[in-house]
Amino acid sequence: MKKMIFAVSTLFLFTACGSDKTELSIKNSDQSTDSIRDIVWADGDASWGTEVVNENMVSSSKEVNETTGRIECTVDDGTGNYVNATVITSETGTETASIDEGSSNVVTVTASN
Amino acid sequence: MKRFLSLVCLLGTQFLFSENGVIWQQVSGSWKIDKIGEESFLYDLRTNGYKFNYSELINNNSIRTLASYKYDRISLKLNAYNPVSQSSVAVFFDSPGDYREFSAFRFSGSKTEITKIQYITSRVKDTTLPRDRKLNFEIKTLEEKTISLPYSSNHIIEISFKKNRTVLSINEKEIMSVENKDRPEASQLGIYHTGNLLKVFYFEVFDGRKPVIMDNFSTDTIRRSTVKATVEKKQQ
Repeated sequence: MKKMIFAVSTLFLFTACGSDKTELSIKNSDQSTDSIRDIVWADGDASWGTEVVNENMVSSSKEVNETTGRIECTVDDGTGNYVNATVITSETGTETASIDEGSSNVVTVTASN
Repeated sequence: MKRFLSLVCLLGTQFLFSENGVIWQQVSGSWKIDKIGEESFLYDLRTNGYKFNYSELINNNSIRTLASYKYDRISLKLNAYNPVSQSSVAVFFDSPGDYREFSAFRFSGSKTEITKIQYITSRVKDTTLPRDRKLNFEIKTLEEKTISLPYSSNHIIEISFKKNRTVLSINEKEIMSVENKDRPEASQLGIYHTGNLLKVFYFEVFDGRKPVIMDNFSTDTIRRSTVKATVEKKQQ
């Protein structure tokens, strides 16, 4: 009986630990001049593929493993051509962003040509 | 007085000549400028890119002039180093507007040396489709030649356009001459690479004797499309 209680407790413990997922979604600010697409987090730790995020919209949420990394995306450069945009985080002024482990994180981006 | 005016004109010409008028558009990669001793250079931090598939330029790490120029000669000094298994560097030109339209000399190689030069063109497959349609471009190899060029060495690349032909010279030796009948009057140009790191020490473009781009990368004139990000909220 004791063994069974231990096993069930262990199972609950694992389940509880497993629910602490780190998730990330990207919001395209209403200040953006364009939609963003082809979002990549931390050199491919998560990728939103063909999902297009229009102004004032939020992308789907994805589970990520890395809590520090670069966000990359493509934008129209103003001439109809697509370029790989450099994403600068306002907290650090660099290309590296940090998110909280075990949380649902939303990063708001503002794209401008 | 005449001497004074001549001096003023000469100084003005020098100023205009040394002033860097070109603005580069970073299409893909992470391009920076730096300086070692007296020599400044352009370099890219990226080895590989993502296959976003809007164009060959975005699939590789590329940089292109923002403005169009009329030109008949391109001269640059570059150094490709730290290659991975498949590596390439290309100098592209005759790119009037659309990133999917250009001609280029593409150098490809293995991990040990550059083994091949190709004259390629990129064209839009279906011009009726919107620009955000992926894989709507086609790369064609029109000519190809095997060569042996070392990595981690400086190479002077010269491309000249004369009488419907485009001629490629490397380190002052003519390597390839290809037919090129329908050149646009003016166009953008640039470089791309993948599978290696790249330094470019200068990029010069001429129209006859007139220099139209004289960039030794002493100043950063790269236009980067930026996206500002804020970690907005964190919910437990």
